[in-house]
Amino acid sequence: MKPDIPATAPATHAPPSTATILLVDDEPVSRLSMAARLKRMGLRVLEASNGKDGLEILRRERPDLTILDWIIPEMDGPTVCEQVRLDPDILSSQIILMTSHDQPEQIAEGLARGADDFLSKSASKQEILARVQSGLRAASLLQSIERTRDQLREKQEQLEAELRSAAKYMQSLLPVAGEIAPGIQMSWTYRPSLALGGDLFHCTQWSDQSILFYMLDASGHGVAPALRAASLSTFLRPDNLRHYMTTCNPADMLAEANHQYPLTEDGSYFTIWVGCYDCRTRLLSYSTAGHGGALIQRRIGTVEWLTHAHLPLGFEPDSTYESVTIEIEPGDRVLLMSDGIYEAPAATGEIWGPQRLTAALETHRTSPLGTVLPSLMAEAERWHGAPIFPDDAALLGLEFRS
Amino acid sequence: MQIAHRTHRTADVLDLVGQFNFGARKDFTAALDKLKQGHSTHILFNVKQVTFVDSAAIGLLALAAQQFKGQNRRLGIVGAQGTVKQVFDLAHIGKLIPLFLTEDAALNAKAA
Repeated sequence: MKPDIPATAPATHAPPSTATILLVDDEPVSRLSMAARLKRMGLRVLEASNGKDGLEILRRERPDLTILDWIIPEMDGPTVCEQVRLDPDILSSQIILMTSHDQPEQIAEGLARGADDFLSKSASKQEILARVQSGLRAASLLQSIERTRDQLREKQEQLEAELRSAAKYMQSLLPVAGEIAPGIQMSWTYRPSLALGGDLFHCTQWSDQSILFYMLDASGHGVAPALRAASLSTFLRPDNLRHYMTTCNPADMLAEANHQYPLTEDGSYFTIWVGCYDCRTRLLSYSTAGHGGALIQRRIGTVEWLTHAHLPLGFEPDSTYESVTIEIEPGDRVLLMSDGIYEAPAATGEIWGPQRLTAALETHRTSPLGTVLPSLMAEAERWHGAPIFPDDAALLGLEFRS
Repeated sequence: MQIAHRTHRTADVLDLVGQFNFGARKDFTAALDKLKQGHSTHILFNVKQVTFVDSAAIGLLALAAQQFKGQNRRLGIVGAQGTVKQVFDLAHIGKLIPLFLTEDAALNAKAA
């Protein structure tokens, strides 16, 4: 008699010697003989004499390998295989189907119905044991893949939870819509392209008589731009800015921000538009660093873009910025927006563009500010053909009443 | 984006084709690194076949301008048109890297 093949194979993915095998066979002699052989290999062996019991044990014990006779009571072997492949909890189980009929058609049927390997009952002891080893190696690999998959899922869930938490924090940095100063109504709408966006805007009182508002856009999307945007937003808080200047001066703010936020090693930077409105003089001073998304819609409907060409923040260490001052009339509206709005592309690649945005604004001229901004966002969405834009899309609107 | 390198007169020319966005970062940086070892008088970015640029592309060009600032080599952007030119103009990138219609115009231009 030839010796059994040793249980420990030299292969890299050798199955553990404590592996469990389920043996489903209604012939007691054959089953006992096979079970004894497997136990001598150091394997734990579970036994069942019919398909129904076999399936139940398989679900309960999750053996590393199942050796299944084709013809068994209650439920035949191929049907057990089919049931296993339909059950997401056990579908990756390794199954060797065994029969005394080893015609090619039958082998094909067995494999097609869910078996991983096929074994003739007339196979030699060496072949049986080699196939068991092979099945256990495959099971070990599959289990390793499943463990890695589960770990990845767990990490992914952790990351998503952290992203949700970070997004919540970013939301907390946004202003509360409503009357921000006597006679000045503010509203906004924001749609980040990912869970975390690099656009931020704010509107706050600089003093009893003046308000500061801005729209900034950190290049890129995701966590890093969001963190950088949050940092710049913190820098732009009036209590911080007062360390650098005494008056609400947009050009000075940008010059200081330009020093504080140089271009990063990977080319990340900000574009920004900052405005200071003096409630007594009704004058709006603004300054921009590469940000083109700002306009004023006069009470009579005309639209003027409040932009001028200038490098974004951080491109040149010694950049100076220019403040432009305009007069605000009762009924005027100032809109700040990120480029994600007017650069929303259609399926053809054509962007929505400032002209279409201006036309849409004209259409909604008589609507309340709080409904104009969502309407503009909806028009951009219709143009784009999908609710999520490729870039963050933000709109901030101020309406100056008498 | 596809990047091809060639020479034209005394210039190293990078022909950029397709969408110039964050996805082009590695290839663009690698192409620039190769040019740093050269001795051409000009480095030209030919963007005639660029169909789209985003904020990341502006950042990469600004980085390029910073990296070559200390060297005696002049940078130029050639062939910007349509939306691509609008984006460059809005970011005022011409202040860092001058824009030209043709490669010869870039080579014939006097230093700023």
